[in-house]
Amino acid sequence: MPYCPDCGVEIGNAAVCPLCGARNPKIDASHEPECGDKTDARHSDFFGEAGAAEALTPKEKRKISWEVVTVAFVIASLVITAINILIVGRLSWSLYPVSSFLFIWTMATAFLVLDNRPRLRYTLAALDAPLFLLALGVFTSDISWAWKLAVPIALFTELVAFSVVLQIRNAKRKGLNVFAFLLIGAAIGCVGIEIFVDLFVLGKIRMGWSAITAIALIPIAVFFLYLHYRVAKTTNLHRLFKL
Amino acid sequence: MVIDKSQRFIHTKQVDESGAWYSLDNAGIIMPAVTDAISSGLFRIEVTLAEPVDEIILNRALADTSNRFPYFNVVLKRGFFWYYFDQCQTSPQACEDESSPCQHCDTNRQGTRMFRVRSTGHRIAAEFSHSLTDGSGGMSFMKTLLARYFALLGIEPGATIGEGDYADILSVDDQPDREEYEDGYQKYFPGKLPLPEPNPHAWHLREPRLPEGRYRILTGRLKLDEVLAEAKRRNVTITELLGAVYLDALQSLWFSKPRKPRKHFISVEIPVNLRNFFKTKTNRNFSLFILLRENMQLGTRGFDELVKRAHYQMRLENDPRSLARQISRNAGGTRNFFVRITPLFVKNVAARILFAKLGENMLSGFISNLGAQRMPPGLLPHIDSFTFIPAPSKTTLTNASVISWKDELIVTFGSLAHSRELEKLFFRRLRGLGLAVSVRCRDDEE
Repeated sequence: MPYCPDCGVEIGNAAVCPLCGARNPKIDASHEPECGDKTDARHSDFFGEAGAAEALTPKEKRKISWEVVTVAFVIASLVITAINILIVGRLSWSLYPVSSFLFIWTMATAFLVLDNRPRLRYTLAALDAPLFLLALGVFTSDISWAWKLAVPIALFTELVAFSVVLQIRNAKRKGLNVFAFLLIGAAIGCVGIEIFVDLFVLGKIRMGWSAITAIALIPIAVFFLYLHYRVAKTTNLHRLFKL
Repeated sequence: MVIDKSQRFIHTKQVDESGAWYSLDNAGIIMPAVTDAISSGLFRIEVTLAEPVDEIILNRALADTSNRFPYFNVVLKRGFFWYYFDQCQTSPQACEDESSPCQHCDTNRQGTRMFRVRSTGHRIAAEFSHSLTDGSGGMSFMKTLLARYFALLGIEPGATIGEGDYADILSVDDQPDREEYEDGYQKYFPGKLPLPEPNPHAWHLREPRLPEGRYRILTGRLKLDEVLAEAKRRNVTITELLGAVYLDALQSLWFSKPRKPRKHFISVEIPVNLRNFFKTKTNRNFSLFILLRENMQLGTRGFDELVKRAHYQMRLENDPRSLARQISRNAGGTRNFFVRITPLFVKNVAARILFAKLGENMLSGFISNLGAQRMPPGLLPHIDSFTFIPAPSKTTLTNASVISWKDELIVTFGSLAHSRELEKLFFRRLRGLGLAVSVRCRDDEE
């Protein structure tokens, strides 16, 4: 029986050793695999050698996407900045597209690269929009609207969106409950936006349109939850509530 | 059915106007919260027959066997406080086998049976969710299925099944015994005992994963008498010897890292069949585990030293009193009133945390030995081999299981990792001990 020369284990008629990938010495040396040979391709795939591109893992694909985005944005930013300086003689309008690129690039970095660092990923993603808005405030020479209105709304919207996503992800059975979570999120979002706008414009809270929106949305959401968890699931109540 | 209050935790079955339903056993309750389509919680027992499988006969045998094991023919349902199993009204059908076992099956999805039988060519395989049963329960089902399959083909077993060496092969003509689906952990709940010693977090392999849906199976076959002789020479059991080989492979991987890993414990979990200590006929989960652990900060240990230490660690922990501490902690938790009235969605969050802290974070891998399997003499010529495949895990990535059949000891590695380094080190060590090893990887062949 054929043995792997490196591992010393019997490997039968396998083309390569299943453990180390060494070629089976008993297989006719003249049988060189042709281009695209199935066995050889699989071998490369399993041992992570050449041909890995054929079977890129999702992580590898994301990393390549991030690299492409990075290179494209760097080139675009350099070109825009150079043109701005050439025409105006100083940095002015180019700050807007460059900061937009930076905003998108940070988001791309968070979601394409930082797989193994979830805390950093979500911190970056959460801070990205408020920082971008602050930067726009600085560029417009009036930071007050950014600081008092845009940043609070951005942070609040992120918080609501995060809560909704968490609820949906944790739901084992997804159906009408997803719509219910979205409606509740929208209702809370509207109320929050009106509060921040009121505080910024009037200096006090005067609930109006958002309260009407919430009053309309919440009962629908509750009805959806009721349908999802109680009606659309045939079950015996004793089973359902067994302690 | 009226259940005595003292028995309420032990007897899992209840019947109401909609039919039978079952509570999950104490080990199974945590699984739905921590499994998904990849870490499916499915382990697999497969048999290679001497002749090609007759699909029609197999389905008839499967119908008879699932009637004999009604507590296996169930789907998972969510209650407000606990999960429960709902009895299926139809018999399962065997399906075509695929190259990646234990994948593409999320038992949490509504209507998914907690086990499935697959076949192709000469092979019959059964995959069981760990919510439902452990290796011993699964093996009892598989052997009963095989015995029924051969009976329908007109092949006589040549021995009485259901007793002696063949006690785990059940007759499909008998009615299920209540003990077969009892919760063994609750039956032998020892009351409040000191908590088990806390275990440090173990180092895990950090390797690129195979593409989603792929689970590599690599099988090594050894001569049982050679392995037994080697274990005997060292005054250890086969499980202890293989546990030490696993630790040795992990140790080599730990020290091969260019940067010293932050977690400096390597740890191998050895499942223990509690039926060896506590009498029960249960086919539900009834196993716990012992951890073989080494601190890598103390430097590299020689193989002989690892074998000795694995032996003594096993001897210390593999006794009913030590195991009772684990039963007390686990079963006691589910008896606690405040735990019981906690809604399921909160329990699920807690289960994930507990599983991370007290489960997979404590081990670098596991090696599960189902032991020597026996089938009646009349069936032996018709069965070529048994294989036991461990459940996939996204945390440990690679795990192993062991089974002995006839004169062979079969070690099977299941891996989600791209690298085969662990398997290579494991089998090279066995080869280095002078044991003949034959290795196959199904993915390379199919």
